[in-house]
Amino acid sequence: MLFSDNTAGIGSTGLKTKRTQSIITHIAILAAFSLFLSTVEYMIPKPVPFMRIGLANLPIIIGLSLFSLPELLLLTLLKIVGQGLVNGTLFSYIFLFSAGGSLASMLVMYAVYTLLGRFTSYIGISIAGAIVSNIVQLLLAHFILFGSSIWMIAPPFLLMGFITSIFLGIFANVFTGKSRWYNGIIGRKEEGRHPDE
Amino acid sequence: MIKIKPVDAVIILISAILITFLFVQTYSSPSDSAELLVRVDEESWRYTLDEDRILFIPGPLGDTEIHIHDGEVFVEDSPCNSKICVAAGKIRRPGQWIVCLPNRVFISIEGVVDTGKEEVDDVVF
Repeated sequence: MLFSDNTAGIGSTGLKTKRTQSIITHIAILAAFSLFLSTVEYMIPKPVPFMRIGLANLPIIIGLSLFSLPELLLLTLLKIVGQGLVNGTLFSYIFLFSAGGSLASMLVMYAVYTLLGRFTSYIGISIAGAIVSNIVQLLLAHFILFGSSIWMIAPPFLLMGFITSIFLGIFANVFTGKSRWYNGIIGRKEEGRHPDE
Repeated sequence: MIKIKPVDAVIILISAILITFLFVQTYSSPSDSAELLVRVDEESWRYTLDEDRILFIPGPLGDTEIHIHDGEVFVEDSPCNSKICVAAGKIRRPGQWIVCLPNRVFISIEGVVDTGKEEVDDVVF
């Protein structure tokens, strides 16, 4: 159901299920990638618990060119849950911030990718996602828990997200340029939503 | 692989401006001169201590009359029964406060506490 609308043009039921299956596989691989990156990130010491590097967002950035919006949503939800599991924040208020930030950032990255994809590389997409994610987290923190004092940490928080997202964007550029796995999928895709050109 | 496209540049620029603005906004030194903060329930007002004036702050019981004079703040008159706020005397340094609980008026002086200028508490050994 979730994936059916995207395949309307192909027609044949056999192709439909094939695509659905491969999409599910790709989502699973990227979700697993995200889980792995969450674990890597968990091992990196950080000054404040919510100052994350955002490594786990990389699969979502890569997924932008592979999936439709509902599929991306699924990937994002898997990423959020995976990250919550790894960080042990699944049942805490931090999870709420994480979920809000990830969803908002995914939506913005999707919007930037679809609307301005021609004129932007993954660097811009990544930065836009990071900034929006951080702002949403700050807003949630403001209204749910900390009140206006949360804005005292906003500048370094945003700066950190800005810097790490640049590196993530560069990595995504390199990855989409070089990965055979990725280019294999892109090559096979018939809708022709290309990431770079 | 670090090809920067036009919208990338725009996004980088906007983000950089936003972050710089936030840094300046958040960490620029707060006005160094102390300020008077008057609060009644959710409402609050700020006044400078530099000019003398008389304030009538409306509370549930009536107006509390607050004087600012020579950088000092005191309650001249209050509609409450206990008059503790009037008896509290004058405040002038950041961190000091007067409160009138019956009329729900909270008066405090805000600002950076200058440790060099801070007076020693009266202590008797």
